[in-house]
Amino acid sequence: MSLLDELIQSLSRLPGVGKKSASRIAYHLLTTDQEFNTRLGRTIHSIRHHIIRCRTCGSFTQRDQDPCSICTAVNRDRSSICIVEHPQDVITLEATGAYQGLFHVLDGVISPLDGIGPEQLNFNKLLARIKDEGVTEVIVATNPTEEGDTTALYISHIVKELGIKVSRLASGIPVGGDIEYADRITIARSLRGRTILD
Amino acid sequence: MKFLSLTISGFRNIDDVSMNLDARHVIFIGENGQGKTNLLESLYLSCYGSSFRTRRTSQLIGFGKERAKITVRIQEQDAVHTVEALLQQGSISMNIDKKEISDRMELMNRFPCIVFTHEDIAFVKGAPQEKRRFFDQTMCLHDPLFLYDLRRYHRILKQRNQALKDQRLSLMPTYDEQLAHIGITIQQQRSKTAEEFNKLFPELFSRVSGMDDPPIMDYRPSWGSTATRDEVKKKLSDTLSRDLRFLTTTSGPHRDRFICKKGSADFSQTASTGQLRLISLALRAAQATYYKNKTGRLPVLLLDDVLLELDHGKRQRFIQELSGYEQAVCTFLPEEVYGHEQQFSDVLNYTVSKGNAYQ
Ligand SMILES: [Zn+2]
Repeated sequence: MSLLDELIQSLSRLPGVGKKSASRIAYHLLTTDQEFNTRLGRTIHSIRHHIIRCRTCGSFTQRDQDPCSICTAVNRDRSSICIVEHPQDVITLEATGAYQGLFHVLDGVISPLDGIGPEQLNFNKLLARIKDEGVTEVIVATNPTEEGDTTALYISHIVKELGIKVSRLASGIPVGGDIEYADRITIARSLRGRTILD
Repeated sequence: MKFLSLTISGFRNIDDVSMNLDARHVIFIGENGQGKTNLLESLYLSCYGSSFRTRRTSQLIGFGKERAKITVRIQEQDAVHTVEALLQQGSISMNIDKKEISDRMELMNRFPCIVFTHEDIAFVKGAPQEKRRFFDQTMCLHDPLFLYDLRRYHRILKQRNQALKDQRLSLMPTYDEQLAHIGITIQQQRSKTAEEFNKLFPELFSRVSGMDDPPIMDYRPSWGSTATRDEVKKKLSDTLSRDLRFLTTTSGPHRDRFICKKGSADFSQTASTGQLRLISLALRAAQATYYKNKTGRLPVLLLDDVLLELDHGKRQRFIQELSGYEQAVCTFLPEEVYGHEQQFSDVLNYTVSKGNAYQ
């Protein structure tokens, strides 16, 4: 296999990149200035050295800042903890600016079909944090999939035993999402799960 | 809804066909093996993105061909849509008006079409899952959420069964709660549908068959007809040891049964083949009427050779029962076609031979 083929192969393994875009990117890299390639190569090479997982919550952080800036912030609400599936979910929720509490990354969802149970996820750490940090509210922000539901329900079973309030992020029509025929299921679901405004 | 035109390339034995379908009745006449059913199948596939005869896409692509393409123009509530199905490398991709459909669920009740085939007899006398399939289809036709619930239920069931195999007992209360929650919803929907269906189907069957005491379709939910969510949760936890022994979930909507009952007996055990066929036809006709009543919309009916075994009187009475459609597409053998002109008006006739269709 030529080096070019190998590059296309590797690029097409990236999420959202098909065979076609992979070769477009590869040909672009062949003609762009060398300095750009060098910088990109260096960044890719060192990214996992510089960006690590926070030892407390599991989200991404700089190597020289562990625990992360959220875990160490003095002005955040430490009585509330939001549980997410993946580190990038923390970034998404932070970007809204609507949440001031702490986070906890599970690193997946409960799915026996994929060999994942509570033991394979970041659960023990979660329970320890809830006890140590005096948390009084747990918000579960897993995705609205079957496995996301299972995980949320499992969390509520174990956390409620500790006498702590558990809530789940409401799912429905995404803000700014286009309400078209394709989204009928979402709309039908949100109609069924409608809440009374008072 | 109504099909206006059909263009096919490389589908089964149909190399290249383009036809006008703009009539209330479209008749495909031909000997067996010439391609009549393939034409019906292509129309069905345009509506649902799957075949009613096989799940293997490779079987649908013509011999020696790499891909197949079906294009139909459909009139639906004053708008005309173009639906394209592209079959290649074992998968089917669907486009409506050049926009790709990512989930077949989106197609489910968009272009309502109901197919009548000989295999429908399995809805009366077949494995329990065949009978469930009929009622599930009936609901999915007008309620996309039902299919959504059904899919979720089966996903959670698979997870629970895997958890049983892996002895992940700490997860059982969670799965029991989830199954009870969605399962009860499914059960209530099936029960309501069976009740409404039995106000429709027995009388319809009586009118066509002349039988005074028609059968009904009796719904027997695995969890019992009066179970509440909490009772189901308790039942699931009480039967955990049995589930662990069989390494599978032994109760729930996936074990529900429908029985074609006459009096207190299972009619499918005593009925003649002719009666069974007539029941299956009446089930489909009732399905079409049920859809019309629920939505106020008229489906397309695809009838694959099913009028064949009816005598003249039954055939006429059956066709009368089918009045609630915007278009019917039927296949006939050349020798049995005589007389259909008197039964149908606004007809387009095609002769189908060796994968071609001639007007
Ligand atoms: Zn952190």
